[in-house]
Amino acid sequence: MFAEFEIQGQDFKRAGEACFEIKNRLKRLGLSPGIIRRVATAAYEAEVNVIVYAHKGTLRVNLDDQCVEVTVMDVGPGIPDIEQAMQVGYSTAPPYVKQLGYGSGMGLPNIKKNSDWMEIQSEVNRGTTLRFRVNLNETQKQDR
Amino acid sequence: MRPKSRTGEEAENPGGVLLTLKEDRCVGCTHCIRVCPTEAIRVRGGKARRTPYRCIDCGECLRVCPWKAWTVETDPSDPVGEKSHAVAVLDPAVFGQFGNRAFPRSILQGFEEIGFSQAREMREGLFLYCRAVGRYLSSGRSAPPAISSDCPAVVQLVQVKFPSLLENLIPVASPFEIMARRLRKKFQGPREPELWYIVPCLAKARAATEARIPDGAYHRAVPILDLYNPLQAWLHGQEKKTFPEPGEIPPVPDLEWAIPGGQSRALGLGASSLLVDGVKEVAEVLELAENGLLEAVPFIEAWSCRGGCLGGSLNVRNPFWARYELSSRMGANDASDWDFPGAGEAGEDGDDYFLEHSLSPRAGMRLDENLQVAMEKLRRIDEVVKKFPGIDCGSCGSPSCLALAEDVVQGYARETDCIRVLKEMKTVEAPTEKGASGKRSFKSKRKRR
Repeated sequence: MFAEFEIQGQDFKRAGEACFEIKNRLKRLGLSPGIIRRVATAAYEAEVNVIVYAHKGTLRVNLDDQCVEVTVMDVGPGIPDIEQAMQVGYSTAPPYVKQLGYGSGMGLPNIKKNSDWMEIQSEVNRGTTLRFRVNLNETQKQDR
Repeated sequence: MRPKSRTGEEAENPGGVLLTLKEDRCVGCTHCIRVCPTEAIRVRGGKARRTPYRCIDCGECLRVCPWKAWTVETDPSDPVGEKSHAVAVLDPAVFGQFGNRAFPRSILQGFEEIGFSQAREMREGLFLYCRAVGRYLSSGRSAPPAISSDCPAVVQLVQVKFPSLLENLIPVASPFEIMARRLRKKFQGPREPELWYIVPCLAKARAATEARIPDGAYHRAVPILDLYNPLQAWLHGQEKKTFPEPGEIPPVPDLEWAIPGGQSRALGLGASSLLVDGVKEVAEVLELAENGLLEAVPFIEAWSCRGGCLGGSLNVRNPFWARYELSSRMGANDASDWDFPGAGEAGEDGDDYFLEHSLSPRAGMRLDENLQVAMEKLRRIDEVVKKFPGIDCGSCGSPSCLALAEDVVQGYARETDCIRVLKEMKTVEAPTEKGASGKRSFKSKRKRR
């Protein structure tokens, strides 16, 4: 276990705190800037998703010599149609959330864009588990 | 002209300005370790110690030190006596340092009166910088948000703490570097002119002597503070002018450059620029950028000092007062008349003032070169930090409990440097001692209840 964070639904003020910690830890490890950026962007989107949609959740980061893996488990409404949710611009966020600047339908597409592997398991009215990986080697190659 | 009496570290910055600790004045009070944005300072053996590879020259320690123990050491050779063949290049912030007696033209004249062969304002450098940045932004090569790289402390902050944003820094040389190169071209002859940069801060002083483009370096960087007395004396001897003569005040962008927002306006980006000053605030904005939240922002104008370069750590005058003085002079001019005659041909000779080498990250925050070792260290830091009270008191000499845990794991400190840990150990060692206080006696009281 590399790091674990609790996230509270609707706690918009603290959006980004888990992501901040993750970034700091990855920087301590001296990972390449490109990897940190991809993990940070994807983890931030995942963190915000929990805040916007779920009651609460846990964000877990694991690291081995192959990849950074982030697992986000939440207790919440779940996603009825994952394929639809993956589409750019599709959002079920209520208007007040959009007024805060969130819920523009970019979250999941952005996570996909910034990760090398991604998986969503969801059960309606139970919750969602999102996992994504950013490969260490491949990204490092891309950077150069 | 090489600086002497250096503390050993960083002797590679001749002609520049060095941040030095006056050991006899330092009382180990921990003010500086708390404000350092990169946690580069520790108090060890009762004195502040700085780690140069983490230091970004922001000058926060200089500002906060109540004992004036942090000082700058300049080239010990006399700045007034040796400059008869030197050209002084004035940072825009210099014009804010002399109060309402002097208009910019008189200040330039003052530099010549106290012995410089010539004094130049930065206009040509600013103008060419703006044009180069404008071209870069419209070239489609920039990664949004584009971050201004004029403030050298911000550049260093990105190198140390936000390496993933290096590609967002605009790869154009600073106005003062461009200025130096232009002056070298202008004064081509048997004898190269000696260029001195009159600086408002530590970061610019260092950057001036370590240029990132060919011919962009200065022979010396001199804080305005070092020349203030003779200049002010000369200016006081002059008749006080209430109204400027024609041409006495440079165009608004020149003056405004030292004030946050000036750069964006000079670039014509006023409303579409994110403006931030103060090193802590800059770091907060860079965090957001790193999370991918600022991709809709075209341009970030970031200054390490509050109040922009007028807030520079080596300036004389209060930055807000200086801003008032400068602003009151701008009324006479109009931003739209900003042009630099002769700059036209400069851009056409293929000179784009782009940096020769891309900016590289500095391994300031890395725990170890080896990933496995770094992971193990991080795990141990997580364990060690649990032993500390989390009050970040600084008594151990590290800026926070977490930083102490890191220092312990890296072998720079011991757990017993924490006074709480030490106290607990003492009470455990001598449980029978009467009057033993602290956590243990508190616990035993609770047990008795």
